Amino acid sequence: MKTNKSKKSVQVTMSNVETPKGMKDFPPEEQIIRQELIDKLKVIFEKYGFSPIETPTLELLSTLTAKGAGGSEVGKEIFKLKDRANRELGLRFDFTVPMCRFFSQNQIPIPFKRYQIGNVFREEFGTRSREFIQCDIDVIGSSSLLADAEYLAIAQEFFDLVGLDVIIKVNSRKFLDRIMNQAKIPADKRMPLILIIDKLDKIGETAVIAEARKLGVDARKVITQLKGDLPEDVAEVLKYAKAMGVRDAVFVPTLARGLDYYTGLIWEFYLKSRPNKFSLGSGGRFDNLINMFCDRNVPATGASFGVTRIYEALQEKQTDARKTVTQVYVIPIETELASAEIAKHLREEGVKTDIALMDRSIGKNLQYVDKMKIPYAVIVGKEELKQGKVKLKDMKSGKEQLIDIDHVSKEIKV
Amino acid sequence: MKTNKSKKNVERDRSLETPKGVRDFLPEQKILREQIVDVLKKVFERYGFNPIETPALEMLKTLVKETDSATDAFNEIYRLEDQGGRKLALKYDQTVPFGRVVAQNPQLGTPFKRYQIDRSWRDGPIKLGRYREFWQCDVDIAGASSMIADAEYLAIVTDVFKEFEIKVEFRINNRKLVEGVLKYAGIPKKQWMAATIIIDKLDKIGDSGVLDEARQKGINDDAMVKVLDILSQKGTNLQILKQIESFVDDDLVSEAISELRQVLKYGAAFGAKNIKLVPSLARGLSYYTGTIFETYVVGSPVKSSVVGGGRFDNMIGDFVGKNVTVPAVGLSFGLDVIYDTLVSMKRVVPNKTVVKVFVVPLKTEVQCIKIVTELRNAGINADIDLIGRSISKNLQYANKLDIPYVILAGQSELKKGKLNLKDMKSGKEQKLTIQQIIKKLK
Repeated sequence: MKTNKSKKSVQVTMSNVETPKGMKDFPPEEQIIRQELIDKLKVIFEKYGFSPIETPTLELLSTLTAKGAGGSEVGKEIFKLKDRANRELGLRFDFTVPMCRFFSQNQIPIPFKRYQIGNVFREEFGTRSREFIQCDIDVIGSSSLLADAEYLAIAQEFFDLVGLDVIIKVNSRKFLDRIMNQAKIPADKRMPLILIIDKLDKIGETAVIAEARKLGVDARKVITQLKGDLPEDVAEVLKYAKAMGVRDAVFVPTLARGLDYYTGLIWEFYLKSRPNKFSLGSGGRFDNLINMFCDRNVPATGASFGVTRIYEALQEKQTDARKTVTQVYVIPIETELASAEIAKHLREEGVKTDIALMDRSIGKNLQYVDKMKIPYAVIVGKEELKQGKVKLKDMKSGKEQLIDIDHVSKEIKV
Repeated sequence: MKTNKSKKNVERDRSLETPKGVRDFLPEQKILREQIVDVLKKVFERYGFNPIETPALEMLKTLVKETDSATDAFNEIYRLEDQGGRKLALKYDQTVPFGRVVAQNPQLGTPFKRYQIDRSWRDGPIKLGRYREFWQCDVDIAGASSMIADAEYLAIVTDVFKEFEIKVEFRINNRKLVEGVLKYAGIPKKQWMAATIIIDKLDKIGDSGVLDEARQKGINDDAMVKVLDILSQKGTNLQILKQIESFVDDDLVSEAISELRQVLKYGAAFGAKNIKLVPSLARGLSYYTGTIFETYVVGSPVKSSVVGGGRFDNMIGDFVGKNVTVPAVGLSFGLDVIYDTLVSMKRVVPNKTVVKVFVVPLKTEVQCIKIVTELRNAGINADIDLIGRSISKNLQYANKLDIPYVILAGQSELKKGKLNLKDMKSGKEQKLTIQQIIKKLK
């Protein structure tokens, strides 16, 4: 009985205030950093000539389940609903399917370089988020390796900018397929075999061959070939990438990427400290996919940046999350009107300014400033005001100074 | 056979449609929408508002109370279930999720100033300018009862439109003023909401229209005449307040007048201009409790309000329960109507691409990669031919996308350290060094 009751009371208090399973709020301390990351990505994408587009969250269910659209597994994961006319709709689960629809529906000249950043939805069991941010950048209509190389340059520039040490792994799907064909490895054994060979550095050649034998394949020939010369397409893309200033790209012959639709070069960005586990983004060429959705037979290549993963990697580096964008907090002491003018002045100077909006004491207000980690407080008293001055408090050092109103913004900007 | 085939085609085409009432945004539209959003964010942050994000989906019970069943919002909610049979819904505004976040996170502290620029969904009838998936830019404060908070919004809106070199006109009022006058005229409390919403239409339907509608709702005619008489005062803002004050002796009215005077005073201190008190203004939503705002663009062909909002002191408290009161005030900027206004007033020119310069290699690929890299490193949005097309095809492409400049990089010029820069608008070509080009395009 007792257990029951306490459980019930928890449910009652929570009943109005829970988010759906697998979905969450992002409070300012997370959202500020997420937005900064996204803004940095956008600036770089646009420097490389990619333009933003937007597609709706709601798509016709028939669009989302069209052939090849991520396979039957994804079909089960789609959030389905109906509109007032009983049309079957679904929430988008990625941007690739909507991009193909968008490209087919609108008369877009090629090459079409676009990026799209937004949320997608998948109803998966387990712990994974059911609503998560997706950040995709693609080129439709170019078969040039130069288009592939641009992604390596974008990744290098972005990770340099945010201060993450990465390794950019590059491989060629054609090269892998050729080796598998020559060694006559059956299609269904190829991916498991690559996963085993990928452990070469860790467990050694003998162990890999033994494990492959359990799978029923002879790995020796494949290993020898993988250790061979740099494939031509990889060599060329690395040459272009180098000309674009890429330093951290390496050829990794065992990089395979799980998805079937890649046809050419593939790449994946890893944290250098965890080069096998912590993927921050990936991509590749998929020359046959667009054709499955429309009559235009066009090559395509693209990449995804894992915003959530990148956020996590940065969090591990620094724990000093900001709770607010505010730089200075103006506290009036019976000087509301003058304080409003001071706030206006500071904002005109470009300082992110907030003003005390509640009838709280100075002490309470300073507590709030401290709690929100706002760097400065300006205290506006009547006496000081007569001399054209206010009290500026540096919250970190605790130092206070009487300062001309006109000098506040200068002091804060330093 | 033939029928079958054509049917298949139809099916294929249908999978290429978007659902009714939702839209794609091409770069031409999306670039400009992002620019508008960036301006909003910049100004919101300057005023100490912080970004948050809430999920698209909420628990159905969070969004609707059974008592709402007669309202449009209730009937227009997209409902769905997850595989665990939980009843979910797509949010229809940003305000209810804001209320939930505040109620759920007491540690956030007050005042909690947040902005959220996000989509909302309403499965309503599709009319001109109304969509089933649309963007709202909401900026709200929870926990501030001071009229400085209300007045600050006048400054925020002024600042936003100053960025677009546009002048705005505010119409403000206070719900308590309308309710106090209704009370004074002897209209029973249970009719206040209905009467308020009818009075809000005064500008559109005039005195006789208001009286007709009020009669249909069973509201006393003589009382309504009296109300309209009081609310139709003309003059300056302060004159209007003074006149109403002299007619009506009522607590609610005095409170409203005192609040309006403060908002006007602080608003002026914040530098807001063109504030017009409209005593009949109410907004069509039930949850407002105090200050009401609408914003119109001076000289715009778009006649609708671009920003609206007000004070809703009871919403969050109702949400938390336990007789808690959390005062709140906020505004919602309509991205679509602002977009339409800016385009129609030619304050902005939509771009088909972010690209400023397009590099065409003439058998000089590797040199051109270095050139395009240098341009990008200088912060210029630059692109390079990725298809290997002829000069004329490349120029056609640049022309189609309205890319302002094209660099033609031939071997003989490169040897001299020069590049051909073609101004696509004038058609003029200049031979410049890469440094000169960077200086010109920055």
